[in-house]
Amino acid sequence: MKKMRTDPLFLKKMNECVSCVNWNMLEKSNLMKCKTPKGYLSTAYLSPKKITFADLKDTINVCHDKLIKKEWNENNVRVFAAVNCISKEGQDKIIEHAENYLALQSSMLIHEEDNILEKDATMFPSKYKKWIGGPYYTGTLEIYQFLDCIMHLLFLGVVKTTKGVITDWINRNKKKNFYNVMTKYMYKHIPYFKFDWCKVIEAESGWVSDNYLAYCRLAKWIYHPITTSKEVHVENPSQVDKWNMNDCKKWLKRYGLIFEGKLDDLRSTILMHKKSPLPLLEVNQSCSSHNICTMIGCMLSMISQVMKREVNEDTPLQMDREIKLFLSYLNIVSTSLQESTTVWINSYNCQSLLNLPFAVELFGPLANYWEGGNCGEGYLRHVKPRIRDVHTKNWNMNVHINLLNDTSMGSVLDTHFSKKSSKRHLAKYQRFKKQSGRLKNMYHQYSSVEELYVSFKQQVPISFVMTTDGKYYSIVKKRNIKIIGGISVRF
Amino acid sequence: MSFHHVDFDFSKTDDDIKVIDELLIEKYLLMLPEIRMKDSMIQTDDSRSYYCIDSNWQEFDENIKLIYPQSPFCNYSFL
Repeated sequence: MKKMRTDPLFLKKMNECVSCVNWNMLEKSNLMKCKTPKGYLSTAYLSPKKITFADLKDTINVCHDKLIKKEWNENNVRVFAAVNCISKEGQDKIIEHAENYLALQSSMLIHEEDNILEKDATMFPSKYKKWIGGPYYTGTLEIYQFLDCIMHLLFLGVVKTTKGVITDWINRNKKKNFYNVMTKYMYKHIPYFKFDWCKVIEAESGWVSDNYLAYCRLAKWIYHPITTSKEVHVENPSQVDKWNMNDCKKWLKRYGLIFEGKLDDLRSTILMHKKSPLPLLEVNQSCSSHNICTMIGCMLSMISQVMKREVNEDTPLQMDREIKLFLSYLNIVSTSLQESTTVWINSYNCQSLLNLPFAVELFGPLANYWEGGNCGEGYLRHVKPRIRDVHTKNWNMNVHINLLNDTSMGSVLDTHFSKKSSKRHLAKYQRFKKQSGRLKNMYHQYSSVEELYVSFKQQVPISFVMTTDGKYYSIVKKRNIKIIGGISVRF
Repeated sequence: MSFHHVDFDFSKTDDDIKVIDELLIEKYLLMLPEIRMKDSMIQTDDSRSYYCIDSNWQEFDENIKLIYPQSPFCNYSFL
């Protein structure tokens, strides 16, 4: 990892390591060999391999042949199929088809007139043959052409998992209260802006991918105080017999003593222990805040690489490095937290990250395949308002034709106004668009300079913009005028 | 993670606001204050130190230039 950190091109160079495979899971190394599970009758050791539909079909052939020749039992087939990435449903299909085949063969030997199986086989011949696999097994697409859905992979997968690891570290280090106070303060102000690009919510549950995305953007800032400052306990300087209940409880809790009871009892316990000072209650120091900080930094760096709108030929290599650095730190943190199993092994999303550089090479910017935008699930938000009923003839076709017509006309108008019209007409058109449909809320308009200055004095997050001349402004509404104004931000 | 000292000219009033053409806005940013905690209390001192991010996954580096975040302690000089 040291070389990966210091040399940006390290992964491009040939490197051999005897103690790791550098996250190249397909490396032909003895380190990647593992023993076969019980019931696996093919080879003694297994190594990771790239799955293809051809391999899946081969697996089905082997299982079917071995079953009908009665060389393997059902358990052997299930183990072999599972190792070769055939799901439980697939295994059931292989066994069912092999059993049907054997049953038909047996019934044909009896020569009955009204053979039900033969009749059924005539009507549904495929049921009595080898299972042909899932719907895509015989298609023209390969498995690598099925793109990982980044909304699910990154935000509902990797970011959520990493958040869980950090929360675990916070709990183990007894910083939960500290964290709660801080996040309550931090999360309070940003939702007020209602930004479309930073949808933070104050609630701890009910998060969707957009909320994890916003959390990820703010992660460095959110965890900065907790990973850099130490909680200093300030003892009440007055005599112990003048301490209140809260002072007593805090002191006792800090030394791991029982803090329930009457005030006088607590005071006497404290006085007794003060005579022979106790060591402070130890917190879990197995994982340093330095490692947590680095892991968060690596996570943000990796996500920003994956979410890039513009990529070039160097991007896959850079992305590969960021992903491997993040996984390395995730491994360091999760193993030092003494988890029973390593997080990246349990969470398949973490391993799926390794596919992304190749996907970028094939498909370009992955952000263009964001399911929350106009493709995938996100497309439904444009379709749903147009569906009035589902009973009229061709309702689905009509909805799509109308939607495509409107989108095309919008695109024609956008191009016309942006390229062939004056600025005044363009501004008018944009105002019309803003009124007719909701534009994205990208910045906050302060109602007055006073509101901006008060926010600044109170040290709360502040929205600002950068203009094309490279200057920074916080946007403030101009009184009684529809145009916007800006107050210069000085760095 | 870089924090930057930020300031406004408090002498400016609502009448001194500069008109901004919405079409000339290039980036949307958010400045996040540096927060310190002491004894479970948030310290609101007058540091005016902010961490700045934009809507395009970038952040300010030490030279107040928007860059994509970089993994800590890593070398990016040859890229």
